[in-house]
Amino acid sequence: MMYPGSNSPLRWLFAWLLPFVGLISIAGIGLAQFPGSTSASLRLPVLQLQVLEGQGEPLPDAFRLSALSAQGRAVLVWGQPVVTSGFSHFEVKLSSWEQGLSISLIWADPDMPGGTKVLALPTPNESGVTRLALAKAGWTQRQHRIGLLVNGSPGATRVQIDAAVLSSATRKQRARDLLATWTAFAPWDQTSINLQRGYRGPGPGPVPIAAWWLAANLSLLLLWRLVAGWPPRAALLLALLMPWLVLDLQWQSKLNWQLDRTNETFAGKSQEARHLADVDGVLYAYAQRLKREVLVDPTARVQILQKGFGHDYTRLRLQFHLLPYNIYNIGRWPVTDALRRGDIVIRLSGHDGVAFEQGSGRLRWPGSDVLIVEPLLRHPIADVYRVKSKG
Amino acid sequence: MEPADPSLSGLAVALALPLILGAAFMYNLVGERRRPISLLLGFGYPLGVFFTSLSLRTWASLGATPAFWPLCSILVAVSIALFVLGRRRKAPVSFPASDVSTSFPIAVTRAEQLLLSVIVVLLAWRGFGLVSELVWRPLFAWDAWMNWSPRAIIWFELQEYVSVVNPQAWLEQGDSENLYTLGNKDASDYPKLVPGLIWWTMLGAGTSDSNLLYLPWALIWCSSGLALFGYLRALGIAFVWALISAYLLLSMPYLNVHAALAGYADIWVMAFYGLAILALSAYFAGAGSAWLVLALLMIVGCADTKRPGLVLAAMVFLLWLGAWLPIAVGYKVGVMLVTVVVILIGLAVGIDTELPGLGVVVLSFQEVSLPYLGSSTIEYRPGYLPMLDSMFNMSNWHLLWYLFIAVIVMECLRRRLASFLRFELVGTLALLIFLLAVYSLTDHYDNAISHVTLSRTLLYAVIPALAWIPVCLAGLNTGKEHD
Repeated sequence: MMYPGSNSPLRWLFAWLLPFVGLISIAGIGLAQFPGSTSASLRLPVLQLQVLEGQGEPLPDAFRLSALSAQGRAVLVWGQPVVTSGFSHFEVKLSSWEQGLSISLIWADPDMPGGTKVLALPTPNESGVTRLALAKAGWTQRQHRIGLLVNGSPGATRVQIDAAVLSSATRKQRARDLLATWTAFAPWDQTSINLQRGYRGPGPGPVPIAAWWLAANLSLLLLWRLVAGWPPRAALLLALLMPWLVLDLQWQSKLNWQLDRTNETFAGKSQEARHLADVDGVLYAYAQRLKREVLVDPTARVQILQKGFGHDYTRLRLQFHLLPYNIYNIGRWPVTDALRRGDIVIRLSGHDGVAFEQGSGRLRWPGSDVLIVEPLLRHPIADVYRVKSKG
Repeated sequence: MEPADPSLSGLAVALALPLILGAAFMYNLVGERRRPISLLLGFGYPLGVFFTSLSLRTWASLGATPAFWPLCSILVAVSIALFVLGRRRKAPVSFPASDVSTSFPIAVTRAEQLLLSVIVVLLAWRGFGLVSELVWRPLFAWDAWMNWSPRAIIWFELQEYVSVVNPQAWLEQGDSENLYTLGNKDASDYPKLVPGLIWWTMLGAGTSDSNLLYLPWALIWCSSGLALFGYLRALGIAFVWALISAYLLLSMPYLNVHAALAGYADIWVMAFYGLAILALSAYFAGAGSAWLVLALLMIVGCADTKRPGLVLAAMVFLLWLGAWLPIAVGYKVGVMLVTVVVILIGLAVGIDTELPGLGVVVLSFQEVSLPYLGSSTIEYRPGYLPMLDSMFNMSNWHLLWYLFIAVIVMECLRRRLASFLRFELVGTLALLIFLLAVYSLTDHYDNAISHVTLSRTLLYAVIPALAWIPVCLAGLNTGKEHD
């Protein structure tokens, strides 16, 4: 059944065109906000690089880094401060590079002594080019002393720096950078349940931009209403829905990417294998070993001792994997009043406040309490003791 | 010790029975007319989960061995009885009057058909993705394995409804073997609807370690959309608006994540609070006292799900009270202002008293402490900033809150007072104002800044918000109320 008054082809055409007109309007206004319609660049002379740490020397048309320091670093700087105003990107071209190295831009602001800032460059692409948007991480538009930091294994290396360029991006490049922050994928982690930011990096996220699109559509609808009466319902639906649909398709693509990762990691496996493939697979395997080989008495109560306070992942996750054992796991020291012969004490690694004395079989910690225990398992994740008596 | 494979037949029964029970209850409750299947299933599922979890816990607390099939038999019998009684009911209970038929054929144009087809495909795609993620990945989300599933695992593995107490009580009560505690010191005192639900699916599946146990989180995602769709259809809203509203709800990234990374209680609170508001709205629009009963059951479910659910239940009760008071609007505003003044005087004077059986209540401009809910210092901080960030900058809600603001502006311009008196709007704004106060004046500001709890609490407002928007938009281009 057709909706009343909906049979004018021209009105339908306008209804379908409206959101696209809104999008084009908002894109035009948005791009006009980007400064710098033309590209400018400043080539930094690589032959003038000075070596502050590591070893290297200039070649006829490039700079060669031959060794990293004992700390696994090389620091190369340009002697003269550079006026960086107006530049939005930094690019390095390398003709020789080694896996395992990382390269960063470093800079010091003469007006703000006391801190050198470091900004990691992405891994060079197949052509040896790595490029960074400088809007990130507090890059200020002023005069800087700048240089390069290379990290890796100490000793000999083979890195050849052909060129370093500061450039200002065109509107197109800026738009592309913005789009990249919106479409960047990141796997779900423990914060994903708390928020979905929707973009990575500086600049506005996709939601406010889509909201501007929505506002443009609604303005066009209002104009329609004033000029030619009520638009058809489809015009209202499309005006409202198109920005939402575009956002949703972007979200769907991220969901698909996540699903591919989850599929690769877990699909087609047994429950046991899924646990082992998970981020805490080592902890799960450890807990299963405890259940199978160490915690033979199911009525024994367990105390897990942790280094610090608060919601520590290892202690909480270990308790979860050890369920249904009766576990108390809050606090740094054993609660001796709640322990009896045969109970279990698990000391997480890194907790050096509780010491086991091999000769006497005592478990000691600050204060006067002592437990006589039998060590059941020494392990990089946690040591396990069975209580024999209270000292 | 490899985890046992789940019994798929038992799991299917465990998943389906709450839905059947809740739908039967809805069938019996809402009467002869205007009961689209989506309404029965959408409202029925959370209700059925509440009944099932409560039945299991009651059964076990009476000392009976928690046995799945005997309890199933009882719930099936109750469901059948509810269906039969529902069929025999003669008295029609009408939904709010509307001049738009909810019957087929559905009034949509070809262009709208195309749009709706895209939406249906997107929803199917989304549902498939969420279920796949849920089924493949072992329990992942932090609070799920720290707070909600451990009690279910203990009860299932021990085959006994043992007490899980806070760590201090665990230490004080000596070496009882049937006394357990959790790693989060507060979690032992959390309400038990969600652990009861997980325990129920464990009993059906015959294992405590399977990703399939958390399929109810996908079902509540789906049923929330059905409930919204069914409610709007029953209200007389056109098919196209109802479907789009359901799509807007089900497509929101934050809700999707809570379905896929299953195990948190917040999606259930969202359903209980949202549907309580819709039921209350239907009641005051003349749908009959059954909807008041429904609202009451929803707020009890809300309080049984999470501690903040108790506050939300109180909020719904106050909204009901405000609407029910048989006095003019001006007097109601007066009563409200007097209440606020009394509260302010109470805060200025300072209250520090012990309520018998409940605990200490402290209320002052410096500190607030309430039994069961915790305590906090009172200090103003800009809690609105992280709220605005979550609502208008992040991708959590797509464009929901922009649309919400736009419709408020539109209704102001149209001078439609009736829209502003609707419970869907009042329920949304009341919650947002409450959250603004909590995050601006209490220590929960830290949780807002870190976004640990902020978006979870905003989630509770999305169903009423998305029910109000189409009610306002639907009649926009025809002058009809709900077209």
